[in-house]
Amino acid sequence: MNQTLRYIGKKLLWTIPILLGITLLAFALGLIARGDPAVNRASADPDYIPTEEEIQALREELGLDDPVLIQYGRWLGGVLRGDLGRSLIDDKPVLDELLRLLPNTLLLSVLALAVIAAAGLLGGICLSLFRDSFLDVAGRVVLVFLMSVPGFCMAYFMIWLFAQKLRVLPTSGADGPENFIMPCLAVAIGSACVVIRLLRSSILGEMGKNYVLTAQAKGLRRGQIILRHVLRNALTPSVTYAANAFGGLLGGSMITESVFSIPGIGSYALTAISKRDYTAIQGYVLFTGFAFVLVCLLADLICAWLNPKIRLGG
Amino acid sequence: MELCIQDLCVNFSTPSGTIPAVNHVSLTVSSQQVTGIIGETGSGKSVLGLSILGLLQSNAAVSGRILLDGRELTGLSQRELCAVRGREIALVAQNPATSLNPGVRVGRQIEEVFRLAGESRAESRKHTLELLEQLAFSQPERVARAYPFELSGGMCQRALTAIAVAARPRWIIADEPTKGLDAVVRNQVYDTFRMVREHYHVGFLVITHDLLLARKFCDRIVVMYCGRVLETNTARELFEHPRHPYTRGLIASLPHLGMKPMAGFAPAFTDQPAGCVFHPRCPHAREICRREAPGTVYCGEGSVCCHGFD
Repeated sequence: MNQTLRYIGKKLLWTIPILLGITLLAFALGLIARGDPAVNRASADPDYIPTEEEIQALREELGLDDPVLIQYGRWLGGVLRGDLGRSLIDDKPVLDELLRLLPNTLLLSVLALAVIAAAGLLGGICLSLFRDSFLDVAGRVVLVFLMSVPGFCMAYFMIWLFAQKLRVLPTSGADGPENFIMPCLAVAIGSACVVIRLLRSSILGEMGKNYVLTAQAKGLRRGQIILRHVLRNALTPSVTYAANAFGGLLGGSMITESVFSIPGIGSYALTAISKRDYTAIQGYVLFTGFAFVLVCLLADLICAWLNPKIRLGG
Repeated sequence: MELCIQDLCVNFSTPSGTIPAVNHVSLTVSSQQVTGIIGETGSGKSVLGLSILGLLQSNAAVSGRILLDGRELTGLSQRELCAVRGREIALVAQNPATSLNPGVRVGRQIEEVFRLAGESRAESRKHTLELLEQLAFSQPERVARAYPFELSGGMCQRALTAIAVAARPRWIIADEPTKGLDAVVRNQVYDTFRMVREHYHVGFLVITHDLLLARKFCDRIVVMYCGRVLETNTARELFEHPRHPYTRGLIASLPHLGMKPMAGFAPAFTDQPAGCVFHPRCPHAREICRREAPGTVYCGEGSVCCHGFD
């Protein structure tokens, strides 16, 4: 028990420098990017050409002339107080905007994770149970095909099939749960196929180990052996992969969100990038970075729970 | 109770050809006696043991018959075999450290056998702790909570024995039970098996290349080489008056008997000599040994497969 707590503590401590590194990168991104935010902000109205004095005033107001370290300190202090700054374009607080859009992205990601996990488990177990049968061979071919189709192609195909031909699902918006079915499948299918293949091969790898022989000699059937003995040892690579995919989805799926017109974090970032809204981009990078680190931390803890050697072996 | 193996052949088909791991083996083993199968690594002993349980890989072709008290095991479906495994014939697999699931507590792995036999969770917990105590674990509760990698090799071996014993089988097949263990622990294995034998009255089939264990624990010995049975006899007769030149070579290679290594190496399974398989290494090989495979000759309580006894 103590060793388990120590393991969790160690993992938590490690995230601190990583998170700090992310803030540094997010901030540096704003500095490296070309273009002057003050000029951009001042020329937000296309009909008006700002004077040099106006731009200089704006520059001072935004603190763009201060030393870099002071800018970073000011920015980091704001971050710790929950202030990610205001958008350079529309002056709205970035954090409020992110939080307003988060529920849509979160719903999409969680649904997609559920699809990835369910399909991955079911598919991986089935294919390994029926190893080398027609189901297994045909299934693997289909998986490779689905894996290689880009998400937006899948999205357009589904819109054609379900919205235009069958007319069962809406094409765009985020009004109800039915709006999320197609986007969720569009982002989940590729990763789900990878997880199925990953799980299948790690289950079959585990099946060759000695402890499986002991389980067989107890009189357990193949399905029981996979569920009770093999699965927990075979899950680690799939958990890590699914966590990576989920972390990526939390950052918003820019293309899918824009194809289905879902107001989410991805489409927010897309707008911010095209308008060079540095505060918004910084906020976005910071948010997705933090989300990713937390998801990976969670995945590490799940792997440690599955595999006692990780948490007890030190 | 009898385990009867008739004309058993096991062939593995591999990309580099067919490997005849067990070659026309016929044996009758009684649970009244502890039977040991001895021979060098690669003599087909483990394959023979696993074929009884129907646990060979899918590329193995098995022919011949295996009868448990007259019931044929070779024709059973996987589902029927599952009812035989553990409950009628249990296995103590080789390499104790890797034969336990690394991700599951030792206690749970033993409990599982009781659960399979239909016991409640509480009953199976209680029986697991009792069994661990009986198998000379001084802290059964701590061992039950431990993971396999927290135990020593000898402890893992006893935990495996506990799994085998739990369903009170009529037979236990122990595959290389002393492999990789030091002398003190090898003695513990012997003590454990002795206790299990006396307490549970199970029939033992011990597959080993540990001749000292075989001599101490077994009543009857079967000598295998290249997938064939070369000699059988009571343990005492076999060690005092070995008949087959191969058996004599094995015994002469024991440390306290001069540690004279046998000349040559066992041939590859894909390239077996004609005639008697042992003739390239045999000091008494004659012309006929190179041409014809010897038949099995029965004399007294044993049998031998050698032209020198025709």
